[in-house]
Amino acid sequence: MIKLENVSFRYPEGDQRALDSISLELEKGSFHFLCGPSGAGKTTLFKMMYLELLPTSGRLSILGSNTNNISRKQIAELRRHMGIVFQDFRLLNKLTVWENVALPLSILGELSAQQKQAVNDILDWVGLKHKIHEHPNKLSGGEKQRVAIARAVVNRPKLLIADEPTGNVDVEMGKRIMHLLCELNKHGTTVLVATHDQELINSFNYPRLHIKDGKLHKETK
Amino acid sequence: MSVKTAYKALSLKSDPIFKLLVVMIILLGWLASLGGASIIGLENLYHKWNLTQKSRVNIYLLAQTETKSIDELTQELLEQDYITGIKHIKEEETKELLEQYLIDDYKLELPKILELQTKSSANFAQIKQIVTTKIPTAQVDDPSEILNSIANGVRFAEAITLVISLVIIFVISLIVSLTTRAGLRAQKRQVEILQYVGASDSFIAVLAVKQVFYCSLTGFVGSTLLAISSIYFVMHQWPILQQFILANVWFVAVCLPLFICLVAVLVSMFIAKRVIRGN
Repeated sequence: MIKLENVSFRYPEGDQRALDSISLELEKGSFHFLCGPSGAGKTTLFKMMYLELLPTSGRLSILGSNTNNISRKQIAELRRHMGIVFQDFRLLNKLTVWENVALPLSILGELSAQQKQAVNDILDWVGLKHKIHEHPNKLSGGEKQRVAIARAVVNRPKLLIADEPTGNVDVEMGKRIMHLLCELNKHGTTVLVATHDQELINSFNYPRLHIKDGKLHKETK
Repeated sequence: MSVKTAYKALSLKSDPIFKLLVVMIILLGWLASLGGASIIGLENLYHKWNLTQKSRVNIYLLAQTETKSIDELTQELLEQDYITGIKHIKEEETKELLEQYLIDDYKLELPKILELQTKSSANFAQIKQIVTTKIPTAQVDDPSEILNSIANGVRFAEAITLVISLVIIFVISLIVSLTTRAGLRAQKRQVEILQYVGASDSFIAVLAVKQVFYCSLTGFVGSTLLAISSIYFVMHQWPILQQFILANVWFVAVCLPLFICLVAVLVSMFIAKRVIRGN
């Protein structure tokens, strides 16, 4: 599903490597936590997973595609099989909740009745069916994060990557969001969650990838 | 609910700079349309005048010139293919023509005038040679010099208009380029979100170009209506010009704003792709 072989990354303006010879393989249907302190390289690794950044050296393979010399068109196609959840939600206030969730499907053309039903079902699943006509700026942090998750999973992605999905919500909502991600994983989606919330990590029995100073230190369960 | 959702997500039209784009396309399109229509109208006028001038040559003969010599000259001139007819201007007509240049109690005998009807292939040098050989005192009214001067003047005016049109197209391209760039940069976050959900560069570029297209289309309709109204106004104010406002004038008045609309779409397509790639 995801394979990194000696992957390094250095920002053009930085002296140090943000990622230093990372090797990692995530199996299909797995669930992993990516943890580490701020500035350790979590976000850089994440950006690499959704192909916003490409390795400066090493070999990265996502969903079976080698990303060396990958075109922008191929990146767009790969992202259609991925769901991305951001800490700051990245929702569009101009669109309603329903439209935000339908966005990944709408770029593929006219929505079929089945796809419209899928959007309704996902919103029902995240408990926001009663808010479909609302705009994101009228929602609470937890609701926004659930809309972001609904948007990330509406096209049944093979891979879901979530960067601090519980970072802007209270503990109770954080657990609820994690349960949604676990449920998704049970349906076969590979999930990778970046967080520095140790309490949250300890409450789930999933493998952890620990990153510090750009190096992947250990993989523990 | 469909691509419309993505279209709504990247709504550039609400940006005030896009409203300015519509106004600029209307104004510049109107200017270009009027400029183009004027030059075609001028060309029509020139063409008509040129034909009239080229098809008539006057020969002035002294009053004492013998009728026999005049007949011989007429005979020889009529043998030329490009001369279709020769009219002997009557004395009354000559008097009428020259009246404004003569004092009331003139005693001078009036000259005799021959008016030659010619084809556009007329050879003025040859006519002059035939006339001066037969009657050395005759004067041939050769319009070729003035025709050349007028032709140069018309071509110069056309060249100036062409340069102005090119400047207008350049300005439009610049405005479209700046507005597309500014619009997309202001919507950077929206562009990023579309990219995260799998939209390709081309898909996003098409969303942006469609909006520029609708702005340009509004500009085209506005400028064309303004140009048509202006031409109607000119026709109403100066009816004499109506004979020069032919179908080709209307065609250019509509086509130039349409061309500007096309230029706007092409420029926005090029710029949108570049901005999205750099995002």
